[in-house]
Amino acid sequence: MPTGSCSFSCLNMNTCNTYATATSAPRLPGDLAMWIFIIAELSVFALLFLLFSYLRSSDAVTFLAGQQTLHPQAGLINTLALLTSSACVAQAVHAVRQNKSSAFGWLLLSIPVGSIYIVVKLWEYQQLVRQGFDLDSNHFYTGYFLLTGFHLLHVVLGIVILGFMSVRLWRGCYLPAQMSGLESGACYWHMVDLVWVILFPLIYVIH
Amino acid sequence: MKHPVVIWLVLITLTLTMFMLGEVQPSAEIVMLVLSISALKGLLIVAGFMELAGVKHLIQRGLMLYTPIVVVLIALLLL
Repeated sequence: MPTGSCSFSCLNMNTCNTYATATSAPRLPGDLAMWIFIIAELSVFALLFLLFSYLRSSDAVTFLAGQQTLHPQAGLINTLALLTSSACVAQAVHAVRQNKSSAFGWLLLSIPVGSIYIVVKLWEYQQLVRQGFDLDSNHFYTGYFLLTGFHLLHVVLGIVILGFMSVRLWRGCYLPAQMSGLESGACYWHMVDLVWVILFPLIYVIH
Repeated sequence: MKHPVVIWLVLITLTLTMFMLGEVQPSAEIVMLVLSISALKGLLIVAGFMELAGVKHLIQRGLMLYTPIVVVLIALLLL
């Protein structure tokens, strides 16, 4: 792994001592700005979940019929892909913290695994469009395409972030004492996972 | 985070359990069980993957409450 282009050293002993003290107790990983962004995103998704649930409770027959046209196995594959990709990222963060060279491999692996979600979701959209369903078909499909489409955009952005972080990790920019950027990106990816954990049962599992 | 692999295994197991519950004849109890599993998975992601377990910060409290609150509200709307 090349180093040098992003070298880091403690400016003085005080900085190093402060870091050592700070790491003894659990601290908020990553940047505060990223956490505020994550909370804002989660709030928007929460509103969309509640709107979808409200529409479903007011028109259960349409929603049940809509669910029958989906592929639950595709939803399951997507869940497993996102959870596995998230675990790879978590493993990468863990490895960087322990100064292990396996970090790059874990982070790189998270990209193709996470991309499975994009492929499967686009395939699902194609199947529905072929059957003649789109955003305007009824409330179920409006909710389905809006919720999953919005989430898909987050997955695509997450993959770009993972690619960017992989390049920076390869260049040696992340060190145990300087990995706030990696932690922030990782937390964004876990947020994408967190949203899907609620979305998956709401759309595919609960009948 | 000490055991990302263990958390991943638990999450996968919970996901497969939830998926199998979806194949069972639908009832209010099954919906509650599925939503409870979702809340549990959310907590595992927040505490384990996001590494917020034990962190004393308002954001930690907010995120730990996120999935349980959203899931309860969904349950109230659906049932």
